[in-house]
Amino acid sequence: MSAELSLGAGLNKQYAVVLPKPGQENPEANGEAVKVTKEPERTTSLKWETAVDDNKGKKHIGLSQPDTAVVSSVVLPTAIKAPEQAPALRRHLTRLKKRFVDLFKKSYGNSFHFNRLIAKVAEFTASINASVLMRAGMSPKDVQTLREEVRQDLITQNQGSLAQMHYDWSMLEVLG
Amino acid sequence: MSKKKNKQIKLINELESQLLIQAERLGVRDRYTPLAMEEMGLDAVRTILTEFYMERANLEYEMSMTGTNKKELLIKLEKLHGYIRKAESLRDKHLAKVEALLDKELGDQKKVRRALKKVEPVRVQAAA
Repeated sequence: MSAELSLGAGLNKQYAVVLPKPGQENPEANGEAVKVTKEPERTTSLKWETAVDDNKGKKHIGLSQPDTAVVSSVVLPTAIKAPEQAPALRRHLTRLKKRFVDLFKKSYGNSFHFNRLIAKVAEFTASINASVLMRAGMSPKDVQTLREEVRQDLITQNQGSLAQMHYDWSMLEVLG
Repeated sequence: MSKKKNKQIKLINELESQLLIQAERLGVRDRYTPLAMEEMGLDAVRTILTEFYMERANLEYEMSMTGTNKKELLIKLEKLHGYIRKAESLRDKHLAKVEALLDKELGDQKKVRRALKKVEPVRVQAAA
């Protein structure tokens, strides 16, 4: 299951169902339920089923057990508890987020470039990166904090560069 | 002035204008007033002078401690003295410019004193 689900998977085709708890299931399904809970990777009582098309063109969930219940027919990240494949996905998402934060910082920094064309392109890229970050779960407040951080860094850098330029100029005057 | 130096000065001026444009985009252009720029230049010259003084002290120590290559050390010291003189004159120029800019900002000092006298409260002597 965890190997099948990737970022490109059709999430609207997946449905969450609740498995019966070991003490509450009916006697016929007892062996099956115990088998399910004994699986080492299963940590929640949720199981994922795929919707199957019947001959009349309607979709229905092919339940493997008769006493399971459909929890949700719409898969939303907030509607259900994350399944066991979530850590890998979360890791991937964190990595992507970090990459986009770096890209955002770089492009936002370039939007103050002295070259107008570079600044405009960087502005455009920064806004795209900001929207991606917001989709990845970053709040606008955090994005604003990032912006402020980048700006402060640039101001410090600018001041340092001007001081260095004066130093170079003076050195040139003295030694030249 | 040699062509090389001209080019270098041109490059530094170009760099300065780019940095000032960037400062304007960052919204901190008003921090870099002519006075602030002169002060930066003064700081730079002071840093250079400190380095030269340290180098002179090092060379003098070396000359007093080691007896070899005295001629070479003397040549180095002579050159260093020249650089120090130049740096000191540059520092004086910067100081004069800073003073001129400060005076300009303060305005005519005589007029200021006259205005201050007018503003001062009049002392009234109590009748005996």
